[in-house]
Amino acid sequence: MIPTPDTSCLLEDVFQDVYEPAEDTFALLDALEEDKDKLCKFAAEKLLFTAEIGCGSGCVSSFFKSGILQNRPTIHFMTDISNAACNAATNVVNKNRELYNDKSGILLTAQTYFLQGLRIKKSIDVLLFNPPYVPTEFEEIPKEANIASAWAGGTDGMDVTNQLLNNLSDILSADGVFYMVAVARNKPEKIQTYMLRYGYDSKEVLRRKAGRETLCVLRFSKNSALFV
Amino acid sequence: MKLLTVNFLTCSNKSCSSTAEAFPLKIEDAKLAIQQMELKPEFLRNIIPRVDWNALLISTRQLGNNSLPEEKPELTEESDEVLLKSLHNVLLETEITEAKMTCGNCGHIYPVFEGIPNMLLSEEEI
Repeated sequence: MIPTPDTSCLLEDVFQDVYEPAEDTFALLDALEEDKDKLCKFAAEKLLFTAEIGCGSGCVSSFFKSGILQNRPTIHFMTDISNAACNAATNVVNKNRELYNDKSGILLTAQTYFLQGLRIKKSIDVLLFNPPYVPTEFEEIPKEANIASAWAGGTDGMDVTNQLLNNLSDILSADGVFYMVAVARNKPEKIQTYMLRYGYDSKEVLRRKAGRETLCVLRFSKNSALFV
Repeated sequence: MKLLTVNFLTCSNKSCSSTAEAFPLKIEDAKLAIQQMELKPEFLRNIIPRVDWNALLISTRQLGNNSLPEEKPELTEESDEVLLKSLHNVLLETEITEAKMTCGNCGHIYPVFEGIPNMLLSEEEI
């Protein structure tokens, strides 16, 4: 078991502005841990460029870079539209590098929408996204970043996610892999079918009940011997 | 943010990012700090091939540092430790804590505040 990143360096009131690690976060951590051997093999093949969109507290990025890919020479980008989240994540990942004894590779933070402004077209090898997946009215998706940006997902909870799905081929490297969290109301099977049109095969890596929600983690890839 | 980050940033405006003027963003009014890190030759050997060397030279010169070689070095297991240390210090240990980064095409200024680059555009700019 890889320990969960320690977020105790964040003050309690930070979580008024930053999404606090919850069941969906832990589902993504568990799915990544499930794929640990594959991910480490991937990292042994080449220098990985990896990224998390909507890094929030930095819990997932820290777990992924320092817990799973520990000491591999990986470049990991973290983005969030919230400045509070970018600050929190930077603190958390740096603190946890020491805890995981992770001394190689780097984590870079940028405040942006998806990966805008980053020169990493078609070069991300592993992309992580725990989207704002709660079904809401489209108008409920905040125009300026606030805590609702972490969960308000519009129609079927998919309005934000769809923007990413439609651009995935422009972000991922040829053998890149994408992990995302979804809930039953997002219609995960439909997402899997939809992505076939872009040539992406997928696998449901994890499914579990969390209160009234059914959470799952989907993994997408194409031309990948490792992640078929 | 690490100085290396500048090598991965460009204008967020889609109509700029394909132009030569948008990269690298021009750095001004920078405040720098040094954050020590353990030297990992393997990481440097891996990352240097992925760096746009000309852009890096432009960025380091804008920050007043002329220490990097004119040509991109080819790092091997036998590479000189002085060179490795110098690259490590510039790329990974130099932190830009505050700065203005300007797109040479549209003129948009991206601020760096408390070490975080803000690459967001305002709604009218999208």
